[in-house]
Order: sequence, then structure tokens, then C-alpha cells
Amino acid sequence: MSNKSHHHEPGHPTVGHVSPLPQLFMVFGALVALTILTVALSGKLPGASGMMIAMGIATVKALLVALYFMHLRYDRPFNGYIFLAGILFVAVFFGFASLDTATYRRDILPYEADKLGAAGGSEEAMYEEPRKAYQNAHQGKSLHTSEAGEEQPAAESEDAGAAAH
Amino acid sequence: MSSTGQTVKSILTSPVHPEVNYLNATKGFASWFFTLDHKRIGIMYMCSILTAFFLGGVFAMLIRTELFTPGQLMFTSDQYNRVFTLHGAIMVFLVLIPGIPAALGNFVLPLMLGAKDVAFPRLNLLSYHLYVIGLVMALLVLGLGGIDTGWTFYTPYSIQTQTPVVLITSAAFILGFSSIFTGLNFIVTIHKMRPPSMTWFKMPLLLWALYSTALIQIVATPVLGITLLLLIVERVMHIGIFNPALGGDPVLFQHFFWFYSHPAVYIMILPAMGVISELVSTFSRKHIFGYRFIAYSSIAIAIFSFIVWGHHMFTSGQSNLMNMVFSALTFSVSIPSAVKMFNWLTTMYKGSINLATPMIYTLSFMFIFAIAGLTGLPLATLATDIHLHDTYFVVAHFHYTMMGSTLFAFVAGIHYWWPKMTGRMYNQKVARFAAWLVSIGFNVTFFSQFPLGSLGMPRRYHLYEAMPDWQIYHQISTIGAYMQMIGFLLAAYALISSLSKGKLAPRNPWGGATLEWETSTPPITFNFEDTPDAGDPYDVESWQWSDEEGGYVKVRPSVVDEDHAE
Amino acid sequence: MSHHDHPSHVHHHFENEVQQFDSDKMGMWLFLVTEIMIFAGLFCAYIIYRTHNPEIFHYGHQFLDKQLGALNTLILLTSSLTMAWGVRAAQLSQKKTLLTMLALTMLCAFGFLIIKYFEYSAKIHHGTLYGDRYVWQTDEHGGEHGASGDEAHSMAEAVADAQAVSEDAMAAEAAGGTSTMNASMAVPSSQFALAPEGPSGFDLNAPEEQKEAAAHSFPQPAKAHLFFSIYFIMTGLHGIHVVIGIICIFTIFVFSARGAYNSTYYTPVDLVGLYWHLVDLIWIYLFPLLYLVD
Repeated sequence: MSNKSHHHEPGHPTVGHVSPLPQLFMVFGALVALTILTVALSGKLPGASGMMIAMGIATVKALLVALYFMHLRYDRPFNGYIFLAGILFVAVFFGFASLDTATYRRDILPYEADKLGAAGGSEEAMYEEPRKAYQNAHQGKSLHTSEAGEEQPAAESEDAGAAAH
Repeated sequence: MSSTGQTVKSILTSPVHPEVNYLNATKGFASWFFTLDHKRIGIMYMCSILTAFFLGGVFAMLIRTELFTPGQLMFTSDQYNRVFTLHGAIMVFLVLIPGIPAALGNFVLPLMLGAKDVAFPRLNLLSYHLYVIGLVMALLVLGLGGIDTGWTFYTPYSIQTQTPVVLITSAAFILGFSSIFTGLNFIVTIHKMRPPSMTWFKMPLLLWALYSTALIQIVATPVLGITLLLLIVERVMHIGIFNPALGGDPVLFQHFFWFYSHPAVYIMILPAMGVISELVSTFSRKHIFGYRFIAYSSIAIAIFSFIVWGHHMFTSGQSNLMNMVFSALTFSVSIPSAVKMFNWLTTMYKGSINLATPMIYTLSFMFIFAIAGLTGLPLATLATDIHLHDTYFVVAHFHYTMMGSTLFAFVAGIHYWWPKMTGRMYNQKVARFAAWLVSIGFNVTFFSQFPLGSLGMPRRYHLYEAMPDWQIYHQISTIGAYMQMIGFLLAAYALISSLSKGKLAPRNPWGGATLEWETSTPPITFNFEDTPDAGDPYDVESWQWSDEEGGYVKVRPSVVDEDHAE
Repeated sequence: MSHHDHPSHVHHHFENEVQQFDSDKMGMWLFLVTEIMIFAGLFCAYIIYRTHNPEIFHYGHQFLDKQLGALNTLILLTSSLTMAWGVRAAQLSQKKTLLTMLALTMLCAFGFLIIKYFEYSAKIHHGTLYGDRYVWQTDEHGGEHGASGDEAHSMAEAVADAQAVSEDAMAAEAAGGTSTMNASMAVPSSQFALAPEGPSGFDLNAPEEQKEAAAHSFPQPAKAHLFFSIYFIMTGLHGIHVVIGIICIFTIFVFSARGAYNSTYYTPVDLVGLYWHLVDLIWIYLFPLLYLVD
């Protein structure tokens, strides 16, 4: 199979970039390796650094997908700018919203402390009311019991699927 | 309109009134409702939007009538809540946001580019169909008794109320996608379908404005989509993210909501500014002043619009830090807005001003927009906003921006392109009288609300019996509202009666130099017989008045004048 | 405009196929930006709850199966490879390869959904559902409360700590004259200052061994149900995108079986490919954010 995409052979497209197969496989290999790496690292690194590294690996993977699978590296640059502009606005959105919630957080803590006090110091009781209301509305049966009763096979296959608990 | 007395000869050879145009090329309901022609889609959008405007207007009149007396006149408080919510939701989501881009933009944008259509005609039709679905859903909500949350759907009340919030938010969600598809279409069309001779800085300013608008539509509207989706999920599945009873954060909803809804204000005003930039040059018979500044200020406003949303939340429990940051950033928006005002005024300076109907709306726009901008400053100032927040001062301010500015530009645009759209001239005397009535009525209605607000009248209140002093302001406001109503009905009469009684419109009745005036009246289905050459879009001297034609004729190719060479 | 070199797949309003292809591609990229902004809302909610209530993530992620998540990641990556290969096949007019690749992509997508189904039914089985449908796990974890008391603060302890800290803080504020308006407007209980890790914070600075030991035993935080709300809404919306993807891929599968695509016209394959890669791209972030919280 010919991979010389830049020659105009018959059967080659007049528009767009053809990715050579070895390149696709190499990118895929890198993506799989990074996935294994991030799983292997999880829980091994202290505190916030684990999260940072996991996000870093995810970003490298995302870049590989965007540049090679999505052809951004060979596409018109403007399409890449569109993508980057999108990311920039996401950053603005995250930045301002989390800056604000981070600073008004101190105003909420007293409210939550009062709520905890009212619940007799029990965290379980703090948000119990809506859950009780829901369960009462379903004749005292939780979704848990009703679903498990009806869908026995599902529960079994879930065990087979090595669910955590 | 001055006559030179001599006969002026047109350099355009295509017929002015061809036998077959886009209106009569095909017939029947399906040929309209499933058309891919951007002009027909634009016309259908305009009719639907004006229908929604009529509906929203009826609610506005009901509100103003109810407030004529301090006590209860027609509605219970609960009914009143529903009426003002429907007024707001219909006007925002069904009239102002799609108004100029979807109706006028769809009609004019490809014509201004000298293109045959927008880049994705099917997507354009889909966008219209989504709009119709949204409109029908809004009507359904109306049939179910309306909703009482206010158009902002703030949590936690919107989670608790028994009114059909899910239906109206689904409608807004669908309308959001209608808006996204229009924006997407416009960006691609402007990028890829300009004729080779039209560089970025030879584009008419309306296109710059629509481009900036489309940018906001693409980036901000999806956030509204996810916000409303989360609200729907919250109501249906009780996930608790916005619900304090489940440990959720209701202020987060406001962040999400305003991340869209503040830029949405610019989705409304930016295309309005674009329309005004076109009209002010045409009716002053003068090249636009400071082309590049107007173009760049559109982009600047679009970008600024994303970093000021928190000024809607000064009293919502937003942190002091962010209050200060958002307040400071909000002031910066006034710079590009003032740049535009300065350039429009300077364009008019020493121009030969033609007070045709569209120009009257344009002048009102400039007067009103100045007040709108200046009253925004005390609202952006934290200390004064604590007093003015959620009072009629805010109501007056945003009606000055959203109605007085956006809607006036929309109406101005309709009057400007009407002859091109329909091929008929409307009665100038009636339309001009209507324009004055609407303009004066508007100021009577809303100027009285500034003192009312600073006296302390809160918005969304039904009764004000404890404060008899406020009644006079409410009464003045209501009288103004009736003046506007008569004015709008009169304008509608002038336009609609022109369809049967109006005289045949010339190719170019106003003397605009943009490409849409070079095609026939009304345009043929594929817009132009030959792709026109784009010169300077504000070289108004290239068109001269001709008594014989009853309009302007093109006497020479438009060239980039050395004085205005960029 | 000249009509002599206007192939049938080029619409009348485009000059040539390059203009049409570029327009279509740009339109798709703009659409992808709207998709990113839609998910941005959810990621924003994630970040904010993660910052303020890290304990619910440390608690809740134990109920997710890391292996299944990783397997699903690999399945989606494989489907991305086959999709990219499919686009290449369409560009080179290799109809058979194209059909095979599209079929494999759909197979992977179904595999992803089946695994997701097992994961969801595990949640239903355990009652670890969103919002008010969350069943409190007292029986399974409540008994271990005492054992974990050293490592993780309960909220009552956090409040007590905060009280002590805030008295200092208040004194400092009063001395500096920087008392904020919010503080003065707050109810008397505003003696509570910011607890460093949220109300019942999981001590991130504890030694590693202690953390390991505590991982399955620290008490259930008050807002645990919100983790599952976020989990379900994020994976749910992503799942909907996978379903839409399957529909799109199936559509182009049918068209390519009829021979609609070749090296002169393959735009729909390319665009669906872009969409599918974005779905993969979002999962690349969802996986570590939800499954690999430690």
C-alpha cells in the first residue's frame, strides 16, 4: 500500500490529507501506552501532583488525537485556531467561575454548619429530606431494591463484570 | 434627494424588474416552507419573528395597563408573574436574539457578498425549522398557563415551581441550536464565499458585525444549552447540582446562565450596530468615517462580552473579589461602544442628511443608545448598583439597550431593505409619522422609569399601593407604551399596504453602495446574473439620483477613494 | 461562474470542490467548538465541586471500576484508529476497507455501551445513584467510621477546628480593619472560617500508607450523592454522543455500501470521523477525572 500521499496518483483525493498507515498505528500505540501509564500511576503519587500528571497525560493524548487522527497538523491552520479559540473560552469560563465560587465559599460554610447542627451533627441527616421524599413517593421502596428485584440478570452480569463491590 | 436635472446613465445592464424573481419563481406553501433560498428563509424568519414580537407586545401592553393603578386591575399577582415572564422570554429568545441575524442577516448577507447563497443552505432551513418548533413550544407553554420564574429561570425557584419549566427551557434549548446554526453558517459564508475582489477590509460593516455576533453565538450559546439541560435534568431526575436542598450550588446556575446571557445581549446589539453603520452612511450621502475602528470595535465588543457576565450577579452572593473584577471589566465595554458612536456622529457631520423613514429610526437609535450606554455606568458601579439593582432603573436601562437600540435598528433595517425584499415602496409619510410616534413613545415609556427606579420601585412587582407617589411615573410610562403601540401598528399598516398599493421600487431607492443594491428588485433566485465586482462598500458617490428611474443609478464602478484608503 | 468543470457533488453555490470541502470542514470544526462548550459546562461543574468537596470524589470514585474504565478507554481509542483508517480508505477509494473499518468502529462503540451498561447496572444495584435517588451506604461503610477517625475528619470535627481557626482570623481581620462586607452581613454562626478541605475533608497530606488504608474506610461525606450526579450527567451526555455517533456511522456505512464515497468525494466520512474523534477526546478527559481520582 502506497503511503506517498503528496503525489497526485490516480485514486488519490484532490482535497485533504491522507494519513500513512504506519503513522496511524504509531499514534494508536502511543495512546495505548499513555493509557496504561496513567492507570499505573493512579494512586501512586502524592496529593495534587497525581491529578496534575493525569491531566497532563490526558492532554498529550488529546493532542495526539487532534493533530493526527483529526488531521489538524495537515489541515488549514484556521481550523486549528478555531479549536484553540474554543479552548481559550473554556478557560475563561472555568477561570472566572471557579475564582468566584472559591471566594464565596466562606459564606456558605456557616450555612452548612447550621444545617449540620440542625441535623443533630449527623452528616447523613443533612440531605436526608429530599431522599426520604423520593423514597416515600415510590411506596417506601428505593430504586435500588425495585430495580434489583426486576432485573436479576443485570445484577448477575454486573458481578461477572467484576464491579468493585 | 437632489435632482441634477440631467439624465444619468446606469452602468448596470441587468434588468431592474425581471419577469421572474425569487418571490414568484415557484409557488405554493412547500416551495416556501422547504426552500433552500436564503432570501425566502429570511422572509419567513421575519414574518415569524414579527408574529412573536406582536405576541410579546401584547404581554407588554398587559403589564403596562396593569401597572396604571397601584392596586390590582386585571390580574392576580400569580397571573402577573406569568405575564411578565412570557413577555421577557418571548422577547428575548424569539424576537431579539434571532431578530437581526436570522431575518435581515439571512436576506442580506449573501447579497452583500455577491454570493449565490449561504455556505450551508440546508442547515439554514433546519435552523428556521428549529425556530418554528421553539415558537410552537412557547405557544404551548402559553396554552398551559405560562410560567412564573422570570425569563432567567433562576434556581432554586425554577426547580420548585409547578409551572411547565421543562417545556419552556426545552424551547429555549432548541432555539439555542437554531441560533448556533445561523452563526455557524455566517462565519463559514463570510470566510469562504467572499468574491476574490472583496478583502476583509472591503466588507460592509454589517458583515463585520454579523461575524462578531456569530462568534458569540458559537461559543456562548452551547453553554446556555447545557445550563438548560442541567435544569431540565434537575427537575426531572433531581440530581441536586443547582439545588441547595441537596447540597447543590444555586449561584453556579447564575454563572452558567450569564456566561451565555450576557454575551447574548451582544448577540442582540452587535448586528444592530452593523445595521446602523450601513444606514448612517447611506442617508448621510457620505463615506463611513473610521471604517477600521468600527470593524475592530465589533470584534472587541464580542470578546469583552465574555468577561463581564458577573455584573448581573453583584447582589446574588457573588464574592466581593469577583464583584470588583467584573465591575472594572464592565466599564471597558464602554470604550468600543463609544468608538462606534463617535464614528457614526462623525459620518453625519457635513453630510447631506436624508430624513427618510429608516434614518429617523437610526437617529432615534443613536439618541437612545447614548442614554442606554450612559445609564449602564451607574449600574456597573458597585456602590450605586446595590441601590439600583432589581429596580425599574435596570428595567429602563435594558429596555433602552434591547428594545430602543436593537429593536429600533431591526425596524430601521426592515424599512431600509423592504423595497429590495418586496419590490414595493411604502408610503413615506405614514411610515415617517409612525417612526416619530414610536421614537417619542419609547422615550416617554422608559425615561419615566429611571426616576421610578431610583425612587426604589422594584422590578417584577405587581402592586405598589404603599407608595402612591410612584403612580404618576407608571401612568406616564403606560401612556408612552400606548403611543408606541399605535406607532408600531401604523408602521405595520404602511408596510403591509405597500404590498398591494405601493409603487414599484427602483433598483436602489436610498443610494446605498453595498452589493445588494446592484441586483434586480426583487432579486432573482440566484441573486446575481454575474458575480459583481466588489469595490469600496461606502463609495456612495458611485450612485447618482435619477428622476427618470425614481431612484439611484450606478454611474461608475465603486473605487477605493484615496482619502479612505486603508 | 463556469459550469463546465462543476462536478455533480459540488453544490451550485460553490465555485469548486476545494471551496466546498474547505467550507464543510470549517463548519464542522465550528460545530465541534460548540460541542466542547457544551461539555465545558459539565467540566466547570466538576471543577467547582472537586475544589470545594474533594472528599466526595475520593469517596465516590471507589464505587467506579478502574479496570472497566481503562478497558473502555482502550475500546474508544481503537475505534478512533479504525475511524481514521476508514477516512484514509475513503480517500483512496478502498471501498472494502472503508466498510470494514466503519463496521469495526460501530462494533467498538457498541462494546463501549455494553460495558457502560454493566457499570450503570452496578450503580443501580448498589443504589449509588444521582441526587435524591442515592441510597445511603450505612450498612456497608458506617461500621468502619471509628477506624477512620484518625485519618479523615468528620464534619463535626471540621467545624470545631474551623471555629478555633476563625477566632484568630476574626481577630486579625478586626485588627487590620479589612473585615469584608460579606463577613459582617453573615449570621452569627459566621465564626466558622474556611475549612481547608471542605466540611469533611479527606486529609490529602496524610502519609501514603495511611491514605491507602483509609481509602475504603473513611466515612461517607454529606454530599456523596453529588459525585454520582456529576458522574451520571457527564457519562450520560457522553453516552448520548456515542449513540449519535453510531447513528451517523451507520448512515455513512449504508451510503458507502452504495458506493457514494471515493477519492473525489468523501467529505461526510471525514466529518463523521472528526465528530467521532471528539467523542473519544472527551472520554480521554472523563476517564482520569472520574475513575482515577487519587
